[in-house]
Amino acid sequence: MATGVLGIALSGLAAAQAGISTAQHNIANVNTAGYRRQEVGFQAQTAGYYGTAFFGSGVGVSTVRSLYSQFQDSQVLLNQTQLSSSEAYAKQASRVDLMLSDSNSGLTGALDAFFSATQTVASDPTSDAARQVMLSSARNLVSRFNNLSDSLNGIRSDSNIEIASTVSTINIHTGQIANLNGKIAGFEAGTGQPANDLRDQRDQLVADLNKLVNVTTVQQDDGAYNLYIGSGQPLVVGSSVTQMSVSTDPDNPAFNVPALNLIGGVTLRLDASLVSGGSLGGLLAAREAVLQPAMQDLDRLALSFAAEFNRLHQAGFDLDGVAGGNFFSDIAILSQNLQPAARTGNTGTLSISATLNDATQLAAGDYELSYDGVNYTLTRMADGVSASDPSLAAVTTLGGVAQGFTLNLGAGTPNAGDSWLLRPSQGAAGLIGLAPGMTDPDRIAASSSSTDGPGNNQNALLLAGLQTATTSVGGGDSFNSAYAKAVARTATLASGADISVAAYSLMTSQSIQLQQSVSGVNLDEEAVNLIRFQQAYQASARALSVATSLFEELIGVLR
Amino acid sequence: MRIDTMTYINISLPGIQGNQSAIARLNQQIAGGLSLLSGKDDPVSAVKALELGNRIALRTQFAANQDKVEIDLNYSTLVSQEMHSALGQAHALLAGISTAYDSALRNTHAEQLKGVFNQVLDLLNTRDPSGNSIFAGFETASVPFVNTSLDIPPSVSATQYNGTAAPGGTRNVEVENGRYIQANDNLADVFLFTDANIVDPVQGGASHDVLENLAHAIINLPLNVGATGVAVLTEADLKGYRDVLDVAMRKLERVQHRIAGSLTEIEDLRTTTQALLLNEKNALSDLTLTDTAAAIVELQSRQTTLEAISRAYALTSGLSLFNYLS
Repeated sequence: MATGVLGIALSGLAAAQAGISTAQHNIANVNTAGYRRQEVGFQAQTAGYYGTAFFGSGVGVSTVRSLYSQFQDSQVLLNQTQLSSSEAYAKQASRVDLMLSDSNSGLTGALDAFFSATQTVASDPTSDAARQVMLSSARNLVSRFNNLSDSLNGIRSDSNIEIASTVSTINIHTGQIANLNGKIAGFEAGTGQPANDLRDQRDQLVADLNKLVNVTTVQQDDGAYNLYIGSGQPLVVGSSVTQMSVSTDPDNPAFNVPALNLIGGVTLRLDASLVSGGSLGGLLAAREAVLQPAMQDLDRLALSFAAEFNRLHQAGFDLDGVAGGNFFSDIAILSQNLQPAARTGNTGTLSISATLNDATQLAAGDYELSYDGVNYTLTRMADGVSASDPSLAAVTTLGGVAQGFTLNLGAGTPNAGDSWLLRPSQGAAGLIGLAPGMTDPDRIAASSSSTDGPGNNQNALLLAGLQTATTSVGGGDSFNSAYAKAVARTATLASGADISVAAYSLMTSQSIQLQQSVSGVNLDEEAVNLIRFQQAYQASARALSVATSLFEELIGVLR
Repeated sequence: MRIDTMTYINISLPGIQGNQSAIARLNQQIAGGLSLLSGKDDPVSAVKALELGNRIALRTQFAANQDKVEIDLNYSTLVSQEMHSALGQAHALLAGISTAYDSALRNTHAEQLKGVFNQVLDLLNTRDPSGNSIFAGFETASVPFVNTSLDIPPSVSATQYNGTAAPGGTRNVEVENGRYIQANDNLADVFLFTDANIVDPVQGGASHDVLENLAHAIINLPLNVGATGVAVLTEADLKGYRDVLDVAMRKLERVQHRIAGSLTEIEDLRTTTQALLLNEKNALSDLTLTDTAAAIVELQSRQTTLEAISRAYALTSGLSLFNYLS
C-alpha cells in the first residue's frame, strides 16, 4: 500500500504504466485471430483516516479483463458452423451438378446419339455403315456411363479423404483445447485472476473446431470448457479428450464415417444425423443428399437401360438369322450386388438369394432385409417404406408395388436380429459395357424373324422405340426423363446450397462485426488510451517531483 | 456504434471479392456464349434445356428418317411408273394383234413383247444405290423375280419368286413419335396373284403369273397349228393375256397410289417437323444462350462498382490517428 505523497504518486505511475502496457498489448495484437481487447481495472486504494478526514492512498490495479459479449460470441459460433457446413455442402453439390448437367460429361447427349443411330439402323437395316455407327455410339454411351461413375466415385473417395483429414484436425484441436483447459484452471485457481490470453487462445481453438464440426460448449466453474458433439457425446471434458476416428458405414461400405472412440473400446459411429454443422457435417449431409442419390440413380439407369435393351435384342435376330443375345453386359453382372449380404454380427446361418425379374421396377437405392424371429422385413432405405411377413416371398412387394426382384430361401436358419443388405443396382454404371460378342455390326439383331431376309427392321424399330418408352425406369420414367430428374434434383440442391452460403456469409459477417464491436481493437481508440495514460504518467511523475521537492525543502529547513 | 480496426479495414473486402467473382462469371458467359454454365445456375431452366435437347435430337432423327423414306419412295415411284408403262405397252400390243394375222406379223408383235418382258423383269429386280433389291420385301440381297422362259431354247416356265412372301416384307420407318410410314412395297402379289374371275391361258386356274403369261404369249404368238396358217393361240387366249395384264396394272396402280399418299404424308409431316424443330431450337437458345448485350452492360456496371469500392478502400485504409500524433 502506498503511503504518503510519494507512495500515492508512485501508485499513479504504476497504474499509468499498466494502462500503457495494456494499450500496447492491444495494439500489438490487433491482427491476432480471436484476440479480445483488454482493459485495466483500476481501483482506488483504501483511504486512511488521519485525524480529521479520510485521505486517499492512491490507485491500484484490480484486474486486467477481456472485453467481450458471450451472446455475440455464441452467435458467431452458431453462424460460422452453419456457414462452414453450407460451404462444404455447396462445394460437393456443385461438383456433382456440373458433372451431371454438363453437355460434354453428362449422359443426355450420348443417349440421344445412341438412339439416333438405332433409328438409322431401323430405317436401313442392311446398311453396314449404319450398324457400325450404332456400335460406335453404344461404345461411347457405355464409356460415358463408366466415366460418370468413375468421377462420382472419385468424389466419394475425396470425401473419405477429407473426412479422415478433418477428423485428424479435430483431434489436434481437441487436444490443444484440453491442454489449455488445464492451464487456465491451474493459473486462475492459483492467482484468482482471469488468464485472458489463454482463454482467447482456447476460445479461438473452439471457434476453429466449430468450423469443422458443431460442438456444444459448457463452461465450468474453474474456467474450463466441456465440449459435446452429436446427441451429447463428450468430446472434451476438462483436460481429457475423446479421440475421434474414421469407420466404415455398414449401410454403404464404400463410405467412411467419423466415429468416437468411447471408454471401454466402444466405437460410436457418427452419421449425418449426429454430426451437424461444420465442414464435416456439410460433407456428410452432401454425401447423403446429393452424392449417394446421384450414384444410385446413375446405377439404376444403367441397369434398367441394359436390361431393357438386352431383353428386346435377345428377342430379335441378326443378319445371319441367329438370335440376338445380349447387346450390353449381362444383367447378372450388373446386378451382382443384389445378392443379400449378411451383416457383420449375424448369428444365424441362413443364406438367401435374389433373382432380378424386372429391372424397370427397381427403385434407386438399397434395401435392408431383417428377421425378428417371426417376420422378415424388407425396408427400402431411401424412404423407409417396408413390408413384413413370415414368408420371405411376400416382402418384395412394398406398398402394393413389386420391387422387381424375388428373394429365395437357401440353406441354414436365421436368428432374430439377423439382417442383410441388398444393393440391386450398385456399381452398374461402372460395370456396363458391350456384350462380348458385340463387335461385329452384323450381330445387331434388327430383324424380328430368323427366316426373313436382311431387310426386316421390326426389332430395330422396337429397340429405337425404347427411347420414348415411359415405363423403362422405376416403372414410370423414360431413360431421358429419369436422368433429367436426377439432374434437376442435384441442380436444385446445389442452387439451394449456394443461397445458404450467401445467407450464412452475410449473417456470419454481421455477427462478427457485432462481436468485434465489443472485443475488437480499434487503433484510434488505443492511440487515445496511450495519450491518456501518458498524460496520467506525466502527471504522476510531476506529483512525484513536487513531493520530492517538498521533502528536500523540509530537509533544508531542518539543517 | 463502435467499430474495430480490422472490420473498418476489411469491410470493403466482401464487396471486392463478390464483384470480382461476378465479373469472372460474366466473362465466362460472354466467351462461351452460354448463360447456363451449370445446372445450379437455374435448375428449372437447366431441366427444361435437357428436355428440349432430347426433343430436338429425336425430332432431328425423325427429319432424317423422313428424308430417307422420301428418297426410297421416290425411287419406287420412278420404277413403278416405268413398270406400269411397260405393262401398258404389252397390253396395247396384245390388243393390236389378231390370231387371223399372218405368222410374220404375229412374230413382229412377239418380238416387241419380248422387249417389254425383259424390261419388266429388269424393273422388278431393281436395286437401290446401296445394292438392295427394292421389291424383294426383306430379302434385299436376293434377285426376287427369276423367269428363264426366254432363255435359249425358249420354254415357258413359271416365275420363281425369291423375296418375302406377300403381304409381308414391308419395312416401316418411324417418321414421328409413334408414327410409321411404309418405305417399300412387295410386288409379289402384283405379278403373282390369284383371281378366279379371269381365265389364264397358261395355268387355266385362278393363279396367275404375269411374266409366265407374257412369255407364253411371246413363244406361242408366232406359231401355227401344224403346216396350216392358223395360229395356235385363240382370241380367247389373247383376251386371257390382256385380262391378266389388266389386273396386274390395277394392282400396280394401287401400289402407286399408296406411295403417292405416303409421299404427301411425308411432305406435310416435314413442314410440321421443321416448324417444331425451329420452335424448339429457339426455345433452347432463349434458355441457354447468353444475352451478350445484357451481359456486357452488367459487366460494365460491375467494373464501375469494383472501381468505386477499390477507391473507397484506398481512401479509408490510410486514415489513422497515429498519423496525426507527433
